[in-house]
Amino acid sequence: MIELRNVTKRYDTTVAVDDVTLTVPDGELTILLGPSGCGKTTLLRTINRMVELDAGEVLIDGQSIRSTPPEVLRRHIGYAIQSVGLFPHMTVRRNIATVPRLLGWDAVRIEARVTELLSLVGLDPASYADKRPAELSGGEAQRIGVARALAADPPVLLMDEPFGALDPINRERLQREFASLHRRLGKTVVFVTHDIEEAVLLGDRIVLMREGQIVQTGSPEELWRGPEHQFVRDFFGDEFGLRILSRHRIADLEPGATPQGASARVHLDTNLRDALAIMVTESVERVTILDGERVVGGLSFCDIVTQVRGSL
Amino acid sequence: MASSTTSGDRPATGPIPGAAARARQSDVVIGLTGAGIGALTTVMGPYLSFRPNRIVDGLSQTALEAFGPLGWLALALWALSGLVALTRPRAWTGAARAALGSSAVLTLLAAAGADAASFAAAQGAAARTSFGASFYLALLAAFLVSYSASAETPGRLGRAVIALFPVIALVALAATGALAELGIVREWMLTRTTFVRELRRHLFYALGATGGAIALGIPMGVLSARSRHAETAIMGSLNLGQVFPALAFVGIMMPILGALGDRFATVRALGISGIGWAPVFVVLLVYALFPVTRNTLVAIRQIDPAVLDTARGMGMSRWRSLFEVEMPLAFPVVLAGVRIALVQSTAGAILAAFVGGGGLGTIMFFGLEQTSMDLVLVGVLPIVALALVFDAGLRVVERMAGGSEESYA
Amino acid sequence: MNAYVPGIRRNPLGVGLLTAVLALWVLYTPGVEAVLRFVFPGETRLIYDRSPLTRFIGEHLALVAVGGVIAIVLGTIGGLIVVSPIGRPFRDVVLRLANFGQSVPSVAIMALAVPSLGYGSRPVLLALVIYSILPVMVNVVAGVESVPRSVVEAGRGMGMTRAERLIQLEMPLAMPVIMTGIRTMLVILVSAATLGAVVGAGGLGVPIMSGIGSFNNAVVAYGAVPAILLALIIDQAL
Repeated sequence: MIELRNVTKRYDTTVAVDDVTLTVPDGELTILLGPSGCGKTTLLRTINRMVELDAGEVLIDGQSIRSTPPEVLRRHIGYAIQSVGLFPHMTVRRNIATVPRLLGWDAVRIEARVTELLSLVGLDPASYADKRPAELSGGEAQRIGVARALAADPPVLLMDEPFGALDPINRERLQREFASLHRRLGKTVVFVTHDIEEAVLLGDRIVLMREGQIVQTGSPEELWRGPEHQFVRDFFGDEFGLRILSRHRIADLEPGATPQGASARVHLDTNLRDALAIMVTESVERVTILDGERVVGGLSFCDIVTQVRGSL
Repeated sequence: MASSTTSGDRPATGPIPGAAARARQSDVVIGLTGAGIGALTTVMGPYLSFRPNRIVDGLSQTALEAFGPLGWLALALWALSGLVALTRPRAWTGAARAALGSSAVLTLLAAAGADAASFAAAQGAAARTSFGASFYLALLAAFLVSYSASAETPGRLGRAVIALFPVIALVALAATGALAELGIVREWMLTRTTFVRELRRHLFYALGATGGAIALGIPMGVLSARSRHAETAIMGSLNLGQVFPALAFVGIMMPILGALGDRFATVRALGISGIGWAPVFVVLLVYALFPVTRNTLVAIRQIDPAVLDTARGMGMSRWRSLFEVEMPLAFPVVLAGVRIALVQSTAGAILAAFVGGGGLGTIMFFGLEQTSMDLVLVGVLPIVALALVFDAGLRVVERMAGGSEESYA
Repeated sequence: MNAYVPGIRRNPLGVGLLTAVLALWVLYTPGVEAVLRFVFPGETRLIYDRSPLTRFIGEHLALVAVGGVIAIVLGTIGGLIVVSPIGRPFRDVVLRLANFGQSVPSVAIMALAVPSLGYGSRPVLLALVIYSILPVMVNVVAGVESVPRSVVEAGRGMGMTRAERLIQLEMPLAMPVIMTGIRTMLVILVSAATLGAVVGAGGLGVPIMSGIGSFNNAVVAYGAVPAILLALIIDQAL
């Protein structure tokens, strides 16, 4: 668990982070979201002491981060940034092995870990380990960046717009892969972004910030259903509901009374937003739900619009 | 690799976090360093040496020993400038510090002039009063103080005053005749006629080589930017020329130009031969061509292709595009190349003295032969001063033309 | 800083050829005399005969090597200080002074150092070191600053100490720029060392100056050719 207590950071005359108190639960993916200049990156960087605090304190598992020298602290916290920052003069293998080498792992253990991580991020170890960063595409570089951040198996991962520089197709693919990676590994992740879609898709919890302060904290659904502030509504906009739909599969809905037999068919794993899109594309109000080849029920436009609000 | 700029790294408000504080801290540190060095040079090290004549070893003294109360005054001025550096910067603090630093040096200079006069009165015309290492360190100290003070001063006018005040004060001091008995001034008076002649020849080399480099280098640069073959040939050979050691280069040019002069009457008519000015001039020209050509090439290359495309799309001919679009956009960078060429040629023209081609180097050699450092300085200081004036002057023009501070320096 | 990097570099064949010519020129005097006799048929005296060329090139190399090593060591230390947090305030002023140093002719430094250091190699070494420290520093600064910020930030974020970042990231990535500076500096040193003959430091400047003094182009070429070869070899080899 990461606890930030009354954290404040000033630059010259501007206050980047203004008396922020926040708790990040273990194993959750917490998104720091807000317009540029809202202090989300600065707040993230206080956690691994890339930015030193002017006031307040940060605790990880109850222990103040000030009790550990910054270098030692950082070796036990994964860190991935938008510009990736792969070391251009080192191979992919050496890049991934950076923190394990700093921690003094032996060569055999490092090699095994590199192979494991490359497979984990979906790259073939045999063909990628000896490449140089210049030979990688943007998406590949960012995968290596994530692998490098995970190298020493840190319990906490800090990510600063890691997919921000990618093209939309690659970005979406990496977001989905990362979401499933997170479900498997159960790391505590703090993730900075200004991309609402990304925040809603990935976040267990969203911390919405403005001008150095937290506006509201909660799951995407909580923010959607109960915005405490006009800013929350304005920031997420009219498409918020649609985006929320993308978080949920048809399987998550309570079975309704909608009859089967519509011509359009969707799978049980389809998310609600895609199901809606199919209805619009096919110009139908109802679709048949399949589980494998088996028909298990039906879903109507009304189900999504009305039932969703209650059950989510 | 992914983009190298990290927009998310910093808060968007304000430039770089802490930049102002860091710049301020740097002003204070440099200002204090300058004041500290200044104070040390007052109490330690040889400031002045007094010799009955040029040959004999003389007596070296620190500023405090030589000047008594005036030395203490200078020390106080240095200390004050250090104190002002520590206070909160206001509109006047920069100017005050610069004035204090310059005054310290000027006080010591005036005191040195007075001491030199009384020493000369006692010892006669052969007596020489020369500056020692501490004096030159004090100049460095004054530079550091002025530099940091200038950075602290907001207005352009204020900065100009800080830069020009010591120069004007020095000229005024010299005009009163207070410095006339200092060794360097005496040597200058003695060689005045030679000095003027050699200064002219020195300027001929420096300005001539640079002028030639402008006339030839800009077209060569344009040509290189247009064609890869031309670039390989031109930049390749100019780069080779840069590598040739200066004296050896001149030595090799002497028989070549001599042969040309013997063979062709027109070449001879231009005054080109294996001795005299020509070999040095040609070498300086080759050296000067490199920065001018390179900067022209780079300047044209770095113009946004979209701009050229639009120019062409609006129906401009190649020449029109060159003169109306490319050259104006390239101008500041080309000018930086000219500046480098001029500074380099000004310093390089000292070479002429090695082959009997004249120039201020000749006076330096006189000084070396007569073991008179003051005379060496009479030759060397104007070279440095000229180079600095050319550098500063062209930088001002560059800035007015919209160039960046460090364009291909 | 330097935007233009010419294409052809590190030509092993060229370096070998130049070195072979230089070795022949220095060691096989009769051959050199034959060449000079062919080029300068009018001259009666073809070579500088008071000392063998091996001595001059030895002195020359010694000046360049000693001056270069001192300048590299001090310049690198200085450059690293200036980019470190402690020396950071001095960065701009040092670069300004480096620029100023360009306008002081190296031979002027030699001449001014004679009274305190005497005639011989010491004033020349002083001038060579003063003259070449700053170019090395400037390139160390430029090199370290050319390392992408994101790379250093990533290193910091993963828990590298300042020293680890310097040794593992900044120095290796800055090396090409630093090497360019060192090469330029050594070429300048070869040139400046020829001027050392003026204050009695020996080197290849001795035959050149002697030839100039006696209006004998053959003797000038006898010293100038190996000096040019030496500079070309250094430029091509590094």
